[in-house]
Amino acid sequence: MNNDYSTRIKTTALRRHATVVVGNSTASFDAANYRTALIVMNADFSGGGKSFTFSIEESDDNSSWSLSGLSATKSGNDALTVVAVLLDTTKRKRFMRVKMDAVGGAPTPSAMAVCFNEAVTPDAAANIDVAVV
Amino acid sequence: MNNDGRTELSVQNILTATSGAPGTTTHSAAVSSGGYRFALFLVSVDMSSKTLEGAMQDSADGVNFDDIPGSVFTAWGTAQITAKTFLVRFESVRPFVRMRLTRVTGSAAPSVTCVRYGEKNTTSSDTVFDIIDQ
Repeated sequence: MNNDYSTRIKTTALRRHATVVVGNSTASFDAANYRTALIVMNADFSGGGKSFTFSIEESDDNSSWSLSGLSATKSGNDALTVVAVLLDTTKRKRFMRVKMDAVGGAPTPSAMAVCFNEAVTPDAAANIDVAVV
Repeated sequence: MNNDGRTELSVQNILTATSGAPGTTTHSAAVSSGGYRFALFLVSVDMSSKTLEGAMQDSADGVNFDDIPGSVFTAWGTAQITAKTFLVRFESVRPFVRMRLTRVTGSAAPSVTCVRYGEKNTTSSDTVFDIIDQ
């Protein structure tokens, strides 16, 4: 993270509000050069019986995908339901997306990703021993 | 901001996807700083065959809101998967902030998620995360 008291952000649209289709994945986002990724899924769970189970998928090339091992189920009956997934990008591959694994009661979550904080990794070619910025 | 390389954040759903006739206006719930410095208002909406006008609004009392000058937004595009981000610094506005979304043509059904972040004076979290990978 830069120590300049600034936080960089980037947002990416992943999914529109639509009924969950089990097995489908959202669009992906590129977390390169960001330290933290936040995925938010906004949904109306009012009426009861609504839920969905999802997994985080990751990829080096935005083409071949694998499961990250991170998954969760969201349920409840709140009209203002939000699912928040906070990811350490240093532990993950460059591209990420959300795969829907199960659904109950036909919720229609949207999904967005917000990447925070530019990761600062000295370029080997820069040959920097000390930097005061 | 803490100088520990971390930024605390809080996530809230402040408007579930709400459709309406052209000409109707929907407001999100209002948020206040809660000790955070910034708020991202994340709007998710299907803009195919629709047009939408939006603005940030602020208020001194949480009841009477006005558009924040310079925040009116009309360029939503036509993508099905549309996401727009509005960024507010709390110290620049009045204590209560919300979004106004007015359907111009078509029945857009926007939702709004608020992410507050920046220095916070407590160590507690307002958000129960479904996954934390840190």
